[in-house]
Amino acid sequence: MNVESWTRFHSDLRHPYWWGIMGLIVIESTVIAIFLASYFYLWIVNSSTSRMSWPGVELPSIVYPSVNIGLLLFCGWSMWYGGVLIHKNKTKAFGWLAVACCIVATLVLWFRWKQMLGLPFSYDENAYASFVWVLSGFHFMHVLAGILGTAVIGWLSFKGYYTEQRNLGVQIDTIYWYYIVASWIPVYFVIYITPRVQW
Amino acid sequence: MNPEEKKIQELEDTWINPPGFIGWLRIVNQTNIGIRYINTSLIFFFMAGILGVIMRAQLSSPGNEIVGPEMFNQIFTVHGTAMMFLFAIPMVEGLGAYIVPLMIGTRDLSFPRLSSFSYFVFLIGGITLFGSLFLKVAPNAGWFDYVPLALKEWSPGKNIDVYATVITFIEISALAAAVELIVTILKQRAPGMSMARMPVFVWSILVMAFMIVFAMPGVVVGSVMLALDRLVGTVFFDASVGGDSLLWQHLFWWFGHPEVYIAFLPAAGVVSTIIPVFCRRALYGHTAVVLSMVAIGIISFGLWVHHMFTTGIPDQANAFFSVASAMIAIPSGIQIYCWIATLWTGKPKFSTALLWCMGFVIVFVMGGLTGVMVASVPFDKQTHDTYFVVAHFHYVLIGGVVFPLFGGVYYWWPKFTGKLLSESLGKWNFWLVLIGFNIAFFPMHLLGFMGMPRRVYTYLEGMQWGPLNLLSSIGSYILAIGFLLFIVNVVWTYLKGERSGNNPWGAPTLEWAIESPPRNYKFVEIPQVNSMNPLWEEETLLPATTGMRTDRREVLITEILTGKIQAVEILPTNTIWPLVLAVATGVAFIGSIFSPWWFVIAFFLVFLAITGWFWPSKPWGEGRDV
Repeated sequence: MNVESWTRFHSDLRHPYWWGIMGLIVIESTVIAIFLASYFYLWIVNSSTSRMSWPGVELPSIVYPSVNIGLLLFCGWSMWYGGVLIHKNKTKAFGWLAVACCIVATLVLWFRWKQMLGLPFSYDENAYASFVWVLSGFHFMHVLAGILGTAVIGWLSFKGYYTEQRNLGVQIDTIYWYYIVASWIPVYFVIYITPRVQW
Repeated sequence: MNPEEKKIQELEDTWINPPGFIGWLRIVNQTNIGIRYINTSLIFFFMAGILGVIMRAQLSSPGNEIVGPEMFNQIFTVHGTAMMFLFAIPMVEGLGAYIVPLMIGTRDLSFPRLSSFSYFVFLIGGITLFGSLFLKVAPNAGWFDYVPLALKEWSPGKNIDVYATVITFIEISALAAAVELIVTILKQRAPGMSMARMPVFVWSILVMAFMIVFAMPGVVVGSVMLALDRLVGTVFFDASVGGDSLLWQHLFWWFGHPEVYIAFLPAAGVVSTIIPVFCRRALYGHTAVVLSMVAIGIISFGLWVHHMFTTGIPDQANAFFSVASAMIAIPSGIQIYCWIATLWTGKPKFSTALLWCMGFVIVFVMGGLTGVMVASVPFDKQTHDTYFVVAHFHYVLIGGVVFPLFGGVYYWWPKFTGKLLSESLGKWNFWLVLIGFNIAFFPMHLLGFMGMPRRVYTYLEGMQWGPLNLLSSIGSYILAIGFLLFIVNVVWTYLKGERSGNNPWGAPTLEWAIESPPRNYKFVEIPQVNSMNPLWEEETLLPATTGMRTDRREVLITEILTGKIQAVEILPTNTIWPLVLAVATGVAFIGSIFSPWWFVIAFFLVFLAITGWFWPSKPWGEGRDV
């Protein structure tokens, strides 16, 4: 088989990087799953032994966390649509969508920051409070990483590096954005919604 | 220069390693990284072994004061932590990083820069751990680091902070290498090497890597929580405000039990590779062995509570985990029967490598039998935290991991260096280790029955544990001399060893089809594979393709199940950025021992390092096929 004329510009699951980013996502998802399992473990242990009523503190507002879901979904969409455009060689348009993604994600961080400052408890008040702070902070760090990475991708796009064929970096960044968006949803439901449900 | 010579010269130039010390830091070639992993983990093995000998000297007679109680705590903690995190995992991953690409017929790992990064992280983490011992601030609460002992209230020094941050840091290395190995195995096998034709060693590395991906996050989460509890003031483990001490044990053993099999499965893969070669026949029950490995990988995630039988958890849970613990003996037994059948029906040539495998079978079976004993809840409650358990896990880990890995080192040494280790010195090495090991560890079963607890720095004469402890200590010295002979063998071979040729054992797998030691590009042409044992079953290896460029680092991408050619991709070249990123990550974790702000500062350093790593070098070209 002669492979001389084959393209070397793959950005889909034929490229090892696609599998590599999936590996990273599986690892990080396992980390979040174990955090959430620990959360339920402590809830069950405390409830069954009557050590502490769960959550044991005044519940945090869900306004900012809920608004952030919508904003994060926009980030995911903008990166997806940017990928569609870059396959049509509209690299400048992709660059502007990356800028939009960064601006909206910065808004997510701003809201998160305001939310954390306004929480009715500190991280050392009890175990529930520790989970709220650490998981929200963990996700904050991921959004910040997404913004920084996307800023670089956007810059390279404006400089003309990406083309309709050479756009592996865009695809990898987009997949990671999907993860950033998707990982917030279970965290949101578990730490902000489940304590409100009457079981 | 004819076209073939010109092609080889171009491959040499494309895959060249940069010269000098700075060049050494920039190398990303998989054989260099793999051998660094193996060498470094062996050095840590010997350092941790010296700590073991010091412990045995201290315990050789009652009332000894060679080391005091605090230093003894640090020594046994660093011994266990180093053996698990700095020897067992990096050694099997390093062996995988070196051997797997050659065995599956590709030129490098999928992410060469990531493998360089993971090595430097491992190296920095290891130096930090041993450095803390020299500074007398090493972890001192056991390799499992149970809370509440490990919380700030009971361990106020920096010792546990070193544990909590360095462990997570080192796990980054293990996780990166695991992803690397998975992708390489799934996507870069030589054309025609379907999953069914994949060598057993590659299967074992694949299962191990998947286990790492799902097991390590447990200890990562646990040690992040512990670090935050200690350094920031969260309360995940504080039972007075909703936390729980046993949560740590669940998280730790979620990782800690699969960890035993993470180390054991590649070792079993080594045994499954060596035995057929020296019996001159294919492995008996190839499919059964592979399925057993997969089964062990899955079942090992359902056993962790057997480390917690005495913590007061419900009896029904104990019963479930007791049964699951006994169940894992079934796939382990299947493998052992397949190895015995291969030996039985073959014509064994008892080389040093095969002797290590035979020793493994005997010692590991003994460890497995005591494993079935401690899987029983009533028995475990009698022997928990005694020297019986110390004996059990050393039989499993030295027998099940160290013996086969030394067998593997003897087997692949000609591939690493082009020279044969001395067989006669190797046999002395093996027999001294086997005898010394049994004298050192068998008496510990009896000491356990006599009630000697683990982790005590001394004992009273009236306990009557002295004679067996002395015997055990003498055994440990013989064991140490046995391992020293390995170093003697390496030095002797370096000076006077005989050339091995490309395939001294007449082995059937692809790594033996190329030069020893391999050139940086490994294969001039990626071969087409048509059988499970290509060098035994195929007269000549034909190239799978034409038209791969030699002026850049190209590899073939193949389909996961069938091994059909799917694409050609270009691998990145040497760079300093993986080292920069490893240092930046080290600042984040090691710095946070002193202040959480180091993590924040290092976050941005990490970003800069990643940007430098992926920044496309100019000229950028057209960016499309022309």
